[in-house]
Amino acid sequence: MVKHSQTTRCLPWLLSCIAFAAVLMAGCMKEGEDIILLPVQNDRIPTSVLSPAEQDSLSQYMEINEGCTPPNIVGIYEVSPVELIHSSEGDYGNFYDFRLHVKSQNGRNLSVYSETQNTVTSESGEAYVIGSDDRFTLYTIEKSVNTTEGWSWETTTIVSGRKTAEGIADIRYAIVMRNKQDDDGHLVAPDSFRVFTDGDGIASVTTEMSR
Amino acid sequence: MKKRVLTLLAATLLGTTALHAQVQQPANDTISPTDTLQTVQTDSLHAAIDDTVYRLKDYKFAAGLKFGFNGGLVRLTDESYDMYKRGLAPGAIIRGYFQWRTAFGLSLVPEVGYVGRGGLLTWEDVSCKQLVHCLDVRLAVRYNFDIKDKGLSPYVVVAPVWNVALGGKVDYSDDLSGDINFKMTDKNIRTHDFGLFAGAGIEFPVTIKETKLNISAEAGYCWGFMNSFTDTEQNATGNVLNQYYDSRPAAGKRLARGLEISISIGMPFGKREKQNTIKEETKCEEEQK
Repeated sequence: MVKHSQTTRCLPWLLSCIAFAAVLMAGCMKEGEDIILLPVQNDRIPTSVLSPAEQDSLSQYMEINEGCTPPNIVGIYEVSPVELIHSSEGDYGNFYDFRLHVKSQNGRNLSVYSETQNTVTSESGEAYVIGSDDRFTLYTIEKSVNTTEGWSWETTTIVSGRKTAEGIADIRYAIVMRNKQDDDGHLVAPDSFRVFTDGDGIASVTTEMSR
Repeated sequence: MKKRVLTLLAATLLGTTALHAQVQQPANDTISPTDTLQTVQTDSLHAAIDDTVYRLKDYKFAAGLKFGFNGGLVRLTDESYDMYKRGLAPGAIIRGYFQWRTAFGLSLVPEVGYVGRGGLLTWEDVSCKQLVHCLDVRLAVRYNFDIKDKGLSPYVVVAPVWNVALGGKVDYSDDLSGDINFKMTDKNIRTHDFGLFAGAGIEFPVTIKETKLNISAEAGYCWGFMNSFTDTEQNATGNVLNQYYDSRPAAGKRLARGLEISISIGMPFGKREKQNTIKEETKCEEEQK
């Protein structure tokens, strides 16, 4: 009987000690800033990439497709002859033909994108493809630096069209200036954009990035 | 060992006496002498086993250790994560317990120790595995069923659970980032989680070299109730190591689940006095006769 009462008396103390130890041990968790965000399926261009206002403006000159089941657009395409459809700055002129390279489009519809214009090839960067059936829209953010002039800028590139065996039909290529650093104002203003197309109506498939 | 031999001898002796008693029964009795002998011998053996395999409810208390495996799972409530496949993240269970057993089979079992929780999520090229080292505090309520003349006692158990995250690791990989491995911090998981465990098991009392032990095997499922996504993950304010176009701030809830399988070994103590009283009463009755 004595043993029983001793145990009964000790139990609340024991439980209190455990609870106290647990609270103390909660402080053992290390502090840090690194996190992982789980990727999810995108069915439209995120507003962090292109603001709703920018999307509205662009959609007047090009189709912006939506959906989680775009076609596989892996390949090299030549946009030639390049035609400017619209410039938000109102400037018009002749632009170099260019080639687009989309590779490694995976099940999440992420791909690696690069382009060549004249003699300059951009660095490969991550791009995301949305759309459904044979219609797609690819978007990517590119960071560029001109060390000679001391300029740096960030643009969003959007490519829309219809994937066919010959290439990308009804191709629209848009470039939107996100932000820039150039003292002499040589680069177009932030939020300004230009929309291009292929004069032939189709960006044909090619095998090489360089001409 | 001497005790056991003496008990067996006593049991055999009792059996022989009973045999004589049966043989002296009237001739119209349908029980044959051979049958009687077998029955009595089996009974006496049971008596001997009963002495080595003690009755669990003869003891009020027990204390011991529990070891096992926890198959950690993660449940994401937001539908944007529906395409993720859930996998088990194996973790260990090491806990100490104290058992307060009532005479009618109900027990209160506070447990404290370590459990490895976590989960594995995969989708396309994405693989995200979390292992969280937790202090596990629980108060189990257990009901043991009696199986007559057997040492085994099946039981069901429910327990409110309190988990305190102490650390862990995150292993993430995808095509673009490659492998990202880092130690878990307070930005990757909330420190406290409360949940409920429900399970079933079987308890077996044994005596090894005159030491009484409770050995039990248990399996059950643990449901965590608290959202383990941190504010940093929900607002994407930390240093995001996989910043891509499809990486989104955490949405909905991330709930811990766990499939627990364990084995425990404990020692009973505090022999129930009521049993002694019954024995004394029986002795008195015998003396009176």
